[in-house]
Amino acid sequence: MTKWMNKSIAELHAALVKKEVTSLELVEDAISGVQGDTCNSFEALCFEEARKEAGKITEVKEEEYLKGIPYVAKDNFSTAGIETTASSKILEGYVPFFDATVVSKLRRAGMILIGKSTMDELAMGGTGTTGHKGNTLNPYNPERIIGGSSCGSAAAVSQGIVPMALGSDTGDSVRKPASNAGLVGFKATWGRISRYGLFPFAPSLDAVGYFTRNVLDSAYVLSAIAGHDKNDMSSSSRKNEKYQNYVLQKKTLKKVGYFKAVMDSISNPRIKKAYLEVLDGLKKKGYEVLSYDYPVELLDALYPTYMIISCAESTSNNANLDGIKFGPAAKNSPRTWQEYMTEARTAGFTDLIKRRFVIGSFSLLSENQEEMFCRAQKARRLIVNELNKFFDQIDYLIVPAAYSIPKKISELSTKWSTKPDFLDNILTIGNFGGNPSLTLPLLFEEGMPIGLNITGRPFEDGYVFSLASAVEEITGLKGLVKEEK
Amino acid sequence: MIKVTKDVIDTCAKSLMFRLSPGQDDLIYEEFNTVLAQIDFLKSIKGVDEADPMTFPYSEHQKILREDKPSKPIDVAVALKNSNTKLGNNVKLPKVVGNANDEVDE
Repeated sequence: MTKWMNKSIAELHAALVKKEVTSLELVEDAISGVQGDTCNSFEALCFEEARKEAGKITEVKEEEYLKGIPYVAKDNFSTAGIETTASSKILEGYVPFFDATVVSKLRRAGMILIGKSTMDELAMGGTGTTGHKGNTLNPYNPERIIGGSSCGSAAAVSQGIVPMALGSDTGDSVRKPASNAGLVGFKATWGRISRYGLFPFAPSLDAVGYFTRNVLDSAYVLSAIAGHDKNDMSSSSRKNEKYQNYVLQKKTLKKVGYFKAVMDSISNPRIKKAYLEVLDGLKKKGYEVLSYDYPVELLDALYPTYMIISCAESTSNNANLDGIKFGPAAKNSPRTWQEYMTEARTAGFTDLIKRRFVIGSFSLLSENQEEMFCRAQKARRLIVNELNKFFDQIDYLIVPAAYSIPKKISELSTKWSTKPDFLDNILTIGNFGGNPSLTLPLLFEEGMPIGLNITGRPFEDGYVFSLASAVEEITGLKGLVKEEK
Repeated sequence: MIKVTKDVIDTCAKSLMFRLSPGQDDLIYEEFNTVLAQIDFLKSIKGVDEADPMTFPYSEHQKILREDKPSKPIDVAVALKNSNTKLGNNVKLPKVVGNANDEVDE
């Protein structure tokens, strides 16, 4: 049987148009991939619904780029009739009665959902090891993390089970796993894609994102899911675009910049060499490459600013997880509604989540708010002001997405980092500013992929794709699939 | 700012309506040392206290008058579908009126 799911969206689309394959055959190939998953990538599965939808598709037209192609959604996107848990015990058994807008849009575009993917609990983690179903593994080396929180989606695309999977990105939850799994991971401009039906983690930072195996596919997906949504007041009403044209027509801007402090801090010589080779390659393609002196103290502020803001916002946003309207029932015969909620929430959240909520709650107490939460918001302002100064002069920020291969699962700690390295947290800058940001493969080190990240100005998502496409030509790394031998 | 103590940590957990596992209060107390040192670092950044707090990346707010069209609310059965404790058309809870310590009528 032909293996289809390791091909690109563009290749699958061409095969569907020419009737070389049917959507049902693609779905069966994806199901076969799910059954061979070695990374613990999945939560709920919806094979029968997928077969039914695929069976209805008899023709795919040239302009129907996504029609008939299977995909996977992270388990924090609401899916009508399909259990949605955000990989947390607090939501076990919850079956939404509506679809997230992005899921509806993909359905209208003809994409076929085959299942939900594992994630760090409630998206509050970056390792892929904190969900209620245990560790999600990196297909390149199961001893090392794939990263999170969108771990299952990354593992599914990396293994060639589907060519696209939805994720969400609050700090780097799509772009870091993309780096660890040899994928293209894209976080759109904040407000470019509706978040209606996406469980909120930290709404001032949250963005819909997704994984593909090449840049052009990523652009096609954004064209289908971008746009205003009356159900999401933070979604932008700016005009939607055909983002693939930025790649196909090479519509680009010309000034590429890097942070001098980042360049000076890269200790791995092979990563630095590959990074410099890309910058040289861009010069040869006619780009101007510029150094920028971004203040180190603001880079050092990234981690505490992110942690305080995200813990505070998540504490508030998850207050509705009370075990009453949905979620598992409280045990131990509670006598009051307070006891009921306490029982449900004690059993429903893991220790890590509770610790983050306590710190978030403490930072929001009226006596502490100014010193903690507001100060973090002020630091965010300085971080973004400086980033905007960068973008006043330069069109793109380009940095390695990781500075070493992923950690071993056995070496992880869930404690608040005492000595955060700004290199590990550099991608959060795109969430603070709401910028479009994309990771794509840069090199292999010890058999593990490491990515490069490109960030652009808000609403210049298309230009990010065009530069990423140029980088793809330089590295030659696209369409990577790590299949079980 | 309130001084971090284990009692304060316990009060936060209670107000969040969960109990901490044994030893977690120690771990949170330890983590707070790091958190507060990092807050001091943020405080030391030049200009931070004069900056405006940033709530969202930018404002994309729109002023649109929605059509005054009635829409159908969700069906009661749908609304109750995910609740484990139902009575008729209502979510059933042990006790919602009065003090938590009052005698409960069964």
